Amino acid sequence: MKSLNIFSLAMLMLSSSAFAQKGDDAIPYDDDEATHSSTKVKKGKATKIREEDEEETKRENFETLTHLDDPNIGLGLDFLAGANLLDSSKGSFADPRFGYGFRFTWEFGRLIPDEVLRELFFLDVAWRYTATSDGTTGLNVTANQHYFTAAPAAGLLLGEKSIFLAYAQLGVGVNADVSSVKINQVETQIVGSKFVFQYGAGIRARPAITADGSVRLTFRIELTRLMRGYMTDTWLGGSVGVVF
Amino acid sequence: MRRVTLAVLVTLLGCGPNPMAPVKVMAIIPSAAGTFETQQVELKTITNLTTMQGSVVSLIGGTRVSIDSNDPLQASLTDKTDAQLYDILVKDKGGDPRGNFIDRSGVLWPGDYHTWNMVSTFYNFEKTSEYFTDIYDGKKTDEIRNLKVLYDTEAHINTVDPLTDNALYISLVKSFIIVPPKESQLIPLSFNIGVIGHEFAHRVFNERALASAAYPKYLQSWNGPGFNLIKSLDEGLADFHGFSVTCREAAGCRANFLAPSVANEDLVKARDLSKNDACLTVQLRTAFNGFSTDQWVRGVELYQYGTLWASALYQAGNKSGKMQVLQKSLINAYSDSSTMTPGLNQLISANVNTPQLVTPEEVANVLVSHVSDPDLVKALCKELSGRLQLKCSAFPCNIDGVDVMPACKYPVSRDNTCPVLAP
Repeated sequence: MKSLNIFSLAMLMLSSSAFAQKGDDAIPYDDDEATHSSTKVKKGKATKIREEDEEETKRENFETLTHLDDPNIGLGLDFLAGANLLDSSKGSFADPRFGYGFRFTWEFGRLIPDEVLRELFFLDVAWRYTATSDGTTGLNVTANQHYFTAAPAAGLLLGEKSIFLAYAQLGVGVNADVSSVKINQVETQIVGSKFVFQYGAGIRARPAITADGSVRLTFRIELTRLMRGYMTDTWLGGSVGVVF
Repeated sequence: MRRVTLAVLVTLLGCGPNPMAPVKVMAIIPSAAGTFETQQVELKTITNLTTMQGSVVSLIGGTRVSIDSNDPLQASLTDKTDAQLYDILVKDKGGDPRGNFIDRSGVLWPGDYHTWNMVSTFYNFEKTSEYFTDIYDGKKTDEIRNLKVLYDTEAHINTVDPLTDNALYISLVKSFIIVPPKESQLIPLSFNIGVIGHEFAHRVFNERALASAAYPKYLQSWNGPGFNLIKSLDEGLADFHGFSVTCREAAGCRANFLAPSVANEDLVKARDLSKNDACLTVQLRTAFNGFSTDQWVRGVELYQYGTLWASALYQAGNKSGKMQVLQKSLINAYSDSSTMTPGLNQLISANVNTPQLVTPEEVANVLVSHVSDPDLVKALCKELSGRLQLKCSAFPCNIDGVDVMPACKYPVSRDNTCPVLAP
């Protein structure tokens, strides 16, 4: 594992110098290079093909090994909490309630070899929960809203090599509405479900907590809208978790 | 395929359920045993279930009403139109509710407290409207249709703290107002059809007996027994109609319809129409004759005196077995432009400057004069005279050469349930 990291570092340094040279036309070639250049045209067709193959092999090796610099496998778990501004059935602006839940994250972007793109994509599979309880001692209704959603996300890093990612996401899922009507202590339970469409945006951070970066903390702040049927709830919250 | 998928998505996310009436939906209403339960009902006048709009009532959520004598905008309300009054007094105009429903086998179940409340409230208004439409007996019912219910309103009626635990009809804004219940309350008032019937009756009284006045003239200028009488009569008639509306439900007639909602047993008993000892007392008579408008509207005497009227009507209707005849007769008595049998509207209008002529005997005569059934006339004359201690101890009644309560034309004596008070 250690030797692998050293190798990766070396490859990175190599790539850095290669990028630096690529656009730097002002640096003059030295004599050796000039000589090499003049003899280059004398090379046969087979030699040229071999050189191109070697270049291609080098590039493939570099791209294949890029992900080895980040030993994360990209699976995480968050605890989330926040204010759920429930769509108000009584016609007010909103019915704000506390909400919480858990979220499994798969950073599927890590399947992409590209050094930048691999940081930008992930998929959330979440369960969120909010309860309302209203009424009187004689008649009250507790309504439990469960949202089960899967939502892929794409983002942009806030600076090169930044741990912060601004993202947006869309998703779908199911809302389970489990309510209990209690009238003079006699209880009736009602369970129903609705299709959920989710969209939103947020900022995600993933600082390393181990030296090799194989375990990272994740923080998020997010604004997510959860459309359960024709009711649209707005989730303003944050989350904390770990990603491996 | 893409178009189909999109269409399905729009259906899933777009609008709330909006089936054509009649709509089967669950509400919380009393069962035949009298206990409140979730039961399937049919809403016949609903035009949009999600936003709770209908041809009888439409609910409006998120409103704030403030009646505040210190508000400069309210310095002069008497010259304003209904629309101007609404604009001035309803500070936050609110918006459409969005009922949260769950479809279970074709029946829509409310998914939270407010949706249960709104559906049950709508149902109660609809059933109450059916009752009044029946007893209007062919008269135009425009005045009891397309009404506004300001649901879960923040209401300040000359108060700093918002009202709780109440339901009102406010003629100034021509709207019903449902305010949030106290947590300690039993069944919230809006679930109680008797309470909705009571409030609806205020609307009917305002429209017919007070000529649809937002700010009735008698309220502006009267002070003393005339004012006290009309205010209490309004409450008593509202209780009588509230009771009458309950008779159409599976649980049957509930003369103590406040009982499921009000924990104060003394208050429930005081307003129970069936209690036989609803009689004028010396203390109540003193208050009636001596209280100012402010004292009367703030005191319990307003309701105590109203209950005497309600109880007399209840007893007369029951004893004669002519309850529905009585209900229809009362609507006729609210307004009648004939010179032979003027209605309450005409009695009040004719005496705007002579409130002393609006007496319990005159009011009782107006009510009885609109009853054609002899048995009911006799029962009313007995009950009203006994419980309200009217001047006549027997009918026909002539005092100092003047016919008192000429509508009581059949020979009958005052009911002796209540002890006779010394003058």
